[in-house]
Amino acid sequence: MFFNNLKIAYRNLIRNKGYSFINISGLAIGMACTILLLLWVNHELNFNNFHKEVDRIYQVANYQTWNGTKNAMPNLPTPLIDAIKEKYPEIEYATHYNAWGENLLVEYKGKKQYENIKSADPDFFKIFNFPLIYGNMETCLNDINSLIISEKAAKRIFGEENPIGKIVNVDNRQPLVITAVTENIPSNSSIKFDFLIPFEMMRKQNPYSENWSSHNYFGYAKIAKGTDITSLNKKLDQFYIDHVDKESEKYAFLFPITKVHLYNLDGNPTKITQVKMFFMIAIFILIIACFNFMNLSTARAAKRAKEIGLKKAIGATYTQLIKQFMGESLLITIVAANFAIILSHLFLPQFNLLMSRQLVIDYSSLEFWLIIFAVTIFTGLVAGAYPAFYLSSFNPIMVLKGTFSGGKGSNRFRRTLVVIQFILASTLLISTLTIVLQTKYLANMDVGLNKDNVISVNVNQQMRDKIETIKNELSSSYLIENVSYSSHIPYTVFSNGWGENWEGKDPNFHPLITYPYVDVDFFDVFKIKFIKGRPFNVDNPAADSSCVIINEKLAKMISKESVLDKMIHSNSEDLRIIGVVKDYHCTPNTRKLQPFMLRLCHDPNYLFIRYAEGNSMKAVHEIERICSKYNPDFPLIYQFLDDNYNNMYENQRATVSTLLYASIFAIIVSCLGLFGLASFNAEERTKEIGVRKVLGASMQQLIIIFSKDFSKWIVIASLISWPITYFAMEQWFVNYPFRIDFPFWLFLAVFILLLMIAIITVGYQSWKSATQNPIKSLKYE
Amino acid sequence: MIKTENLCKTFRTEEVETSALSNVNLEIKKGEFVAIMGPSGCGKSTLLNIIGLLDNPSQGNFRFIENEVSHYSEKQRTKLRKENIGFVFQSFNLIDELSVYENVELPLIYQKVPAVERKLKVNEVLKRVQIENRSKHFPQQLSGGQQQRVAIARAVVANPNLILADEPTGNLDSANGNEVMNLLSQLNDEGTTIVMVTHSSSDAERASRIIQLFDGQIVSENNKSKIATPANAVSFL
Repeated sequence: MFFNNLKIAYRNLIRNKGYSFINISGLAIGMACTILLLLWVNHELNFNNFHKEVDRIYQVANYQTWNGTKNAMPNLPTPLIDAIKEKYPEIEYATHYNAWGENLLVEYKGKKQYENIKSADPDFFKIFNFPLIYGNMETCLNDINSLIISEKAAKRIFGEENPIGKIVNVDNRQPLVITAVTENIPSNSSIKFDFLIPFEMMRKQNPYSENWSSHNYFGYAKIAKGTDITSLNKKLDQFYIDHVDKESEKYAFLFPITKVHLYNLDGNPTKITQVKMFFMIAIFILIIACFNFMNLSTARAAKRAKEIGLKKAIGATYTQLIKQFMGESLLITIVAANFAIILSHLFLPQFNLLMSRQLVIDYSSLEFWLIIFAVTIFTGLVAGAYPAFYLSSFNPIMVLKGTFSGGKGSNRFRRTLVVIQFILASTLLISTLTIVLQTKYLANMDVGLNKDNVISVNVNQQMRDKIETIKNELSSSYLIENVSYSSHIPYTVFSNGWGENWEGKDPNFHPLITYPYVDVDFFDVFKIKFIKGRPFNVDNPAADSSCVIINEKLAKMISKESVLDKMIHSNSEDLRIIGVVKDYHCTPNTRKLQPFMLRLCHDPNYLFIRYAEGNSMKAVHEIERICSKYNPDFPLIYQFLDDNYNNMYENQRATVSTLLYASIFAIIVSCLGLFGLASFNAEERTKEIGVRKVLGASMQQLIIIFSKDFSKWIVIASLISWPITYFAMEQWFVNYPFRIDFPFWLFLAVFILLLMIAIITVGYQSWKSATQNPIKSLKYE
Repeated sequence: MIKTENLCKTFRTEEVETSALSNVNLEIKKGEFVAIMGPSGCGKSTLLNIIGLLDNPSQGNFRFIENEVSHYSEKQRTKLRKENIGFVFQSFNLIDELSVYENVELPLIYQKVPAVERKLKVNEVLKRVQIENRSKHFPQQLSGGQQQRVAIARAVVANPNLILADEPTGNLDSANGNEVMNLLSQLNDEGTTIVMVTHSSSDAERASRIIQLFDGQIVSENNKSKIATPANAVSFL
């Protein structure tokens, strides 16, 4: 019987090539999108899971209290890691982990390249599972001058040579010996490094960081087998009070490493929201594809009715028929799954580009086949169940007598499915376009400072020593309008304090104040406007060394009246306010406006050069020429600030592009179904069209009659999708302090777009039927 | 073989109640060839559907091969049907996706007959209806007469006790119609009970008994006594 059913299914597929194509391609596209999205979801959910005994690995974090609010922070004071390891036997291993520097010049046999170098304690390799190709993980971090590199970095620098024992020079001053080479770090690792040095080296270089109030380092720990993490966290909660400061409002805790990629340290969702969103979209697209299948199968029920009636008459049971039709849809799903695997394979590189990931389909992995199996079974069952029950329940008497018609119920069901498909498509498209507009708004928003035509140059120690000379020489070039230097890139300052005080301040009020350091020309380079007061003294900056310039937001916190000449007490210094600038965003504009105070800069990290418009490349050459004169050993690191600013939205853009593609595919799959239904409808209404034509209907009238039904469905779908989208997006906007007004016009635009797509889809079939000779259609009937 | 007592069938829609059969008393013995005639809408097909266990009566008793089946469930009816009844329809009702051979094989598959035995039986029956040379063809490649011969082959392949034919020549020209009737007569001669609904008097003439239906009731019976029928087998109501 199985082979008999298989034969019928196969011959049905072959005979109805058009429908088979629509069914299989719709399912294949839907399944391919779902497979790719699920691969990504699986990748994100399994972040850090490759470590052995991962359930015992934790990030060490602490809560810090400002204004009565506990904030979970990953940055730790340096002594914490050693202290907790010593005090709590439950903590088996613990390590610091931090960047030594992001742009350190690594040199080997004259080959120089800037690299990001991380640092860790010897316990690092006992906690994490980063297998070594060369070297000994017990000892590789013991020597202060060791350097561990990844396989990728080893290949880049040493080619196929074994790099163990080789010496590289870092920043032209620090010779380091390569003691180990790790396998490449998996892409789903939160900890990523190509170069790793002992933390001891950082300790030695920054002795001032050895205090409990400076929070600069990350830390990780592995707890002993059988440790109850809740009770250990209870003990850690008391750590600062018991061991550091009885009045402390800091609380240490451990946070599972399996969660760090998906959740904030306080447990609030971060990446998991995006993972859930893409998972939902994957299911949406699959459901849309399943609905196509259900629609076409039930629409074509009349064609299968005779077979069902006859089989029932000669003894097929209801269950046997259900099995037959379920089997048939599974067969079609399996065929579609094969195409879906091919499509996923073909589009994986583009998808990776889009998601900034290096996902690979591992055909030998059980996980991949489990995803395929789950998607296929889900699709087969969802798509096949209703048609199977529907078809198997036909009354054989009516069918065999030829009085059977699909029935009003099934028509209504099909319409409902199409409406649901378009609700999903419309919701997805409006939401995506809203996110596009919001991202565009944030990227193009006036952040209060002018970053166009500005180049930033990284400043190293050699340059720092001659910064004024470099600045003056740059300023004298006709290509350059203005030069300034600062501690931070002005819109990404994450240097905060909350110990500031001023006259009249509520003692319980502890605002987090950002403090970037700038030079006298900063305001000219970035065209920052003054509300009150003056900039730092150009001729005699030293005179203003105890002065600050604050922004409007901080000024309002300090006093409702003029704040000029008021004093701010900060880190045992009294600073006089000499100016108030118009608010600008000193952190990315996905955050609220921060109160900040600008102080004179002595240790700049960046030079900012405003060049004459239209002279960007000439200016770069000029900057290179001047800087190399004072900094000959280091290649220039520079970037255009507007590019740098735009890069901040890269992640969001990737999400938006993925959503956009998902919406497009959802619409394509929906339209495939619509096309199938329209052609079926045209087939069914051949006689009606013939009669109407004989009675004098014009082609236009016929096309309108045809398109009217489908248009009605789009109207209904849009009306339902609008409130859903509105409330969903308003929820999404909650996370953005700066946002666009809800773009209601998108409702209409998307509606018109979907309507046009639907009419074009249906139009071909309508036109084909309407232009047919009526005699032919009547004769056919 | 078949005995009905006061058999009634009523169809109800939301507004209308239609009586399709009322108080039909009928007995058909093994080996009989019964033709049921009457105008359109008189209840012929309804009666045939009930006899064929495709439908249950609304009232009355119905015994089929010693079983009281009027209250049988769908599952019980299916079992009895597939073991005892073969169907021949006016519109042939062959499955387009299956070849001649596969169409005929289908009832045997549902009866779980082993493949080797199936092959023997199908080939034998195709030879009997003289269509063995077309066994690999699909229904669309055959003439109406040929299709009906395939349908008859499918109806008899499982060696049923009863063949129900619903206007078997209705879609055929006279030559093909004759051929089909010859086949049915031949089957009856070999001992198969046949109940046939027809509009054609000449086809009905082939039967041993003709039952006339009108408005859901049996109004006359013409017993040609090919097989002796008990005197009270049909009651006039």
